[in-house]
Amino acid sequence: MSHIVRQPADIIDLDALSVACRRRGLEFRPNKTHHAWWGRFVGDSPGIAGVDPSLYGTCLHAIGEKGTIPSDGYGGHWEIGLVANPNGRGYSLVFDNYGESGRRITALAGENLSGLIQEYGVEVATRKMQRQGYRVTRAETAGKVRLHCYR
Amino acid sequence: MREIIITFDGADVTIETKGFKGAECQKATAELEKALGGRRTSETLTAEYAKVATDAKTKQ
Repeated sequence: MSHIVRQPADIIDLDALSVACRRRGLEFRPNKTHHAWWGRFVGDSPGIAGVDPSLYGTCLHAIGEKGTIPSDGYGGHWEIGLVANPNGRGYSLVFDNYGESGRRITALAGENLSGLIQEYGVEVATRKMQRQGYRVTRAETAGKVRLHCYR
Repeated sequence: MREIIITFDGADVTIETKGFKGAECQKATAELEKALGGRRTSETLTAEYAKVATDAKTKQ
């Protein structure tokens, strides 16, 4: 009952991530060193390559559903953990996608966290382009976000 | 006017540039790509890029 996975995301700007979390109904929990999940690895999924299962659940920061109290195990409010990116830059995201608790995360952050990762990219790009003097408008169609930057 | 259109589709990112000359568009988007963690999946070069490249080849 533990389907913990890691998503490659290259998260660098934690302030932009915090904004992205708010837009998805999530909250960024800085310096939280445990993210709630099933609580113990029972070997029913591949797990995270290269990481000792005893370390599952440890993280550097966490993300949870806004206004909830996290807890491990069945029915708990589980969280997304930020861990050091194995590629050496920034953070990647880990979470347990099992059962109802995993589905609650997926409902907010998107399948494989793609919605949260997308929103993070949108916020990073918006800030970067505005700093370069561009005006930025945003449009959404069928889940895609289009930034039109001009100057 | 210079335009950069960035499309996000899940974890995939597409960058399109308009109104830049030569390799200016690649310079303009390099910092953006770095900030996005190199997740760009495709790039559309402007007509101006093609024109400058063709002109340079003709002059050789």
